[in-house]
Amino acid sequence: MRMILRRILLGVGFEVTEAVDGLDALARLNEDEPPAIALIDWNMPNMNGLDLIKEIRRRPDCSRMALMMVTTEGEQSQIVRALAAGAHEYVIKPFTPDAIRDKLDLLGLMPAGVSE
Amino acid sequence: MSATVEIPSNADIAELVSEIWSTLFYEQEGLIEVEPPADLPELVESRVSITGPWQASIRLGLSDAAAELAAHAMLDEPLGSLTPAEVADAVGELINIIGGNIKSSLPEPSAMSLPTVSRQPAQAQPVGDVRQVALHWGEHLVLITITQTAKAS
Repeated sequence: MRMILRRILLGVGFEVTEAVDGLDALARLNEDEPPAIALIDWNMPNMNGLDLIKEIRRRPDCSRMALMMVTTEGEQSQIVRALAAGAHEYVIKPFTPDAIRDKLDLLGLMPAGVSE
Repeated sequence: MSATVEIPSNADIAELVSEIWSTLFYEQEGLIEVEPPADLPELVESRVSITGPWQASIRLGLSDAAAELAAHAMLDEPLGSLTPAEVADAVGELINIIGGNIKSSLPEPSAMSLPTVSRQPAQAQPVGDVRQVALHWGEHLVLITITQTAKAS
């Protein structure tokens, strides 16, 4: 799914960095400036997406970073947990590219000049 | 699909997978349910396990050609341009989506494993507490197999 999301984000003008799991994502945050947005799967090895969101939300340097959970976890309780932990948006798989672009637009992150 | 700890019906499985297919592959042909073949051909197979009140393995079998077609459609890349690892990732993601949607209809707490992908040789039809749904995607076979391993009494 990372490859698909990467293509969508590149298509609307983002630079994209990928992490293989939550721990890898945190390691990358320690090395680089926080990105504008992270798209996070719930089910990942080593550290799941919910725990990653909680870790990111503890970091003052990431306070302006938008977090979008992209997952098959469609239960209402899971959505509530993710949003309560600090996710801004929640996308249930399968999704269309337009669904991701719409969410980016809602978050005010669609680069200028890019039409949906 | 209603909340249940029973193994999903073939109709539920076919409907769910068809919905997923039409979302991901909206530019391609839809799925048509067919009778499962008497002998299963060699397939690229992805698998997840569900644990909780209902326990099962859920497998997606695709021919090599179908796996490639799915991967290329998911990644919007021309045919022949992806590596076997990229194709395997895409097939793994498909079962992740199918399994995740099935899991969403189950009582909590239920958990789903990460997907694995392997090649399954030609084999006979499975026996036991198994649901198997065969779908045609154009000329390609899409096979969903759910093997119930335990359920709440």
